[in-house]
Amino acid sequence: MHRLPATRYLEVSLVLGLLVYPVVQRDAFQVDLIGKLFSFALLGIALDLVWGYTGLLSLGHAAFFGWGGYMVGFVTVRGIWLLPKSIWLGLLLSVAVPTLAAVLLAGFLFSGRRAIGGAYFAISTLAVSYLSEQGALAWEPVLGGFNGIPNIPSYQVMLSSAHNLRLWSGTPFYYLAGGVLVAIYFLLRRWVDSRFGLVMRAVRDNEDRLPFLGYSTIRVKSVVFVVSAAIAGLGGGLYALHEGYVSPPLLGFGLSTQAVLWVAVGGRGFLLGAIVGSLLVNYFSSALSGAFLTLWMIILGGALVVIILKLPTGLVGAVLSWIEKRRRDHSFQERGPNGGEHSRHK
Amino acid sequence: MPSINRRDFLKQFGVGAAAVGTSLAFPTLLAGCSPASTGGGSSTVPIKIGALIDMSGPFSVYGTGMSNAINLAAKEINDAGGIVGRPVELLIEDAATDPKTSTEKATKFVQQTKVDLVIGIISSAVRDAVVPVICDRGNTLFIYPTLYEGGSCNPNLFSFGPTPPQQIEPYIPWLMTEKGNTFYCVGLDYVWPRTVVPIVRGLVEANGGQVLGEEFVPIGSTDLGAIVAKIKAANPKVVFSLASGPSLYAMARQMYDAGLMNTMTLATPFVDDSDTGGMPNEVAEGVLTSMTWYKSVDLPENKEWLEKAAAMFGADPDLNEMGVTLRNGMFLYADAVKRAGSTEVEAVRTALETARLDKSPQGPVSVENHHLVQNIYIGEIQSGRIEVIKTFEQLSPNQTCQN
Repeated sequence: MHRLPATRYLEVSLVLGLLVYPVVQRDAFQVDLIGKLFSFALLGIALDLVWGYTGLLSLGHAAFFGWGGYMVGFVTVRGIWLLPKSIWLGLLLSVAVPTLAAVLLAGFLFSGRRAIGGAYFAISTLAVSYLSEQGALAWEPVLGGFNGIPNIPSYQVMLSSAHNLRLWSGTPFYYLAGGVLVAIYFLLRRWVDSRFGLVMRAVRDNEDRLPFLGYSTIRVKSVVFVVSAAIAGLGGGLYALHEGYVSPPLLGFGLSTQAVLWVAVGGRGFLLGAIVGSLLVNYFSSALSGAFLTLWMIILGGALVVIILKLPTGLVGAVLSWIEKRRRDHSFQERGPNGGEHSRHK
Repeated sequence: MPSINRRDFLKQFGVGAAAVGTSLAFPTLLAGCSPASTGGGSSTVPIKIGALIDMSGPFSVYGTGMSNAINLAAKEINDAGGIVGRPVELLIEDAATDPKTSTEKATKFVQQTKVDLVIGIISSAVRDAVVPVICDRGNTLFIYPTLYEGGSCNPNLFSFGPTPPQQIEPYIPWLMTEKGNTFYCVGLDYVWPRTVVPIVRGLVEANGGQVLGEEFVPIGSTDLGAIVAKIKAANPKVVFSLASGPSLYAMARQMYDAGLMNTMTLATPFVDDSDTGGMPNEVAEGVLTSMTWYKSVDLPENKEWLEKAAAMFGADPDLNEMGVTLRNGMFLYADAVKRAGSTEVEAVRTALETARLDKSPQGPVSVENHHLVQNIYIGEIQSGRIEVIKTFEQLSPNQTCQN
């Protein structure tokens, strides 16, 4: 389905709401929390790109997120050879290394005489994620093993000593990560609304037919996969700087599956759905576990099951449908059955 | 397609913004009705203690035992008039055995709730993640109750769980005289087993014994058939296991099924009353453990404490060693605040460094170099319960944290 004007309502509401939130919210902890969730939202839209738009269910996307985080951790704490232990170098590598890895993986997964699709692709990505986590656990001297890489020196970076503002924490990080998220969102929005986006969705909807129309599905899938890995890696890098540590669970199957859940709940194939899903699911997990210490998992699980069953297009899908339906009804009323004097033609 | 008119847009935008705003504000409303706190009745400012307990995730098997112990401790302290007259308010958050969640809750405690003390956490990996948040950024004291490999130092960190000099050093020679000279070591593949196994090897060889083999399995493994086969072939007298939780239960079961329990002893430094439920009685019979408390510790303070626990939670309540360490940690903190005369971090830290309890459910304890001098009890599982068969009194943790 092509882009609905309804999307614009949601986009503007969301951006304005998020812009204003730190001003309205007195509790610095909540602002800090949402800032952190923006890095998860990056993982979410990365997954939505490959899954929602191109139809490739990746069960191992956290691997890219984790590698991004680990690059930041490794560069700033251990250092690479003679290179400076710079945060910006770390961020650069948090994008570059997952990208490279994705290029290699795309070669394995999409090329060759028997290209992998569907379930086998999912299992392969799952294996990548699992292997990454086990590798990080095992390679203790370099990657810190079970304990990961703690004490990433980002907390010390001051933005304003007078106001005790740190760049990678609290409100400044909120706007930094939020800005990155919004910028990437609008770039991706233009991309998926372009011709290439149409081809992506063609891969999702009817991959077998596409080559007959002259498109290389291998190229399309590879490009999307690599871009997605870069975004997820950036999310991981930002996460590592905010939290100050990385550890193996950030690479593993657990986080990968959670990402799938966020996108499913928010609605896949909208980009906005991935953002909304990531933010809401994580925020409510946190809030519920504080309020209902022993029951929160049951409550959250139940809510998620209901949402997935009742709203197959996710929360954002449902909201967009509702907006669109209201607009149709409204314009029908205005127009009347025959068009009427208020009808407008494009 | 009709273009958007201003009225429609404002309406939709209003709804959208309201939806976003409400959904973001909702959790704050939820936080207001948190039932997980135990408040005092007095009108003076409460002393807030934040507890990070694993109520979900792999270590959740220990969660209820720990939360029971600290809830009872808070009640004990408040019934006796609180700490310098101020009631203790205990706030429990689910750490989920996950560094991500634990750091979030830790940040919440030091940034939002601004607690006076943080307690809890089991795994070393999670501890390493939360210590910078609590102790450095948050400048708050943190009491860590779990056995670990030693060597973790921070001015605001107090690790009251047993260390290898306490758990392992007397245990191995005793095992060798009681059960035999030949050992086979099996551990999970992370820092604690990797640090302890060489210590075990050193002690065994120094006492004239032999370590026939060492194996490390990935965390979470429960298929240990290959390892059990190797053990059978090597035929040691003692299988020393550094596996914990489900991996340990699986290994015990597979050894039992292979008939090895008749000729060998399974010894480990990490089995307590929360674990006995994970293994059937016949499988667990004869398993040895070395920790600082079990329900069967024969002290009047312990019997008294167990009675209070039964009154609060019902017969045979879920309690474990880490819970008792936390309970004692809270009492040591109370003592330190009393002697310091305030809850100010520097003052309490100095007082805590010399705190002691002459009587407690686990025996006398005293703080030494941010760790704890305490008794070690060798326990044997008999008919599904851990019975104390040997006591080592007042062992030093032998740590060189000069903070």
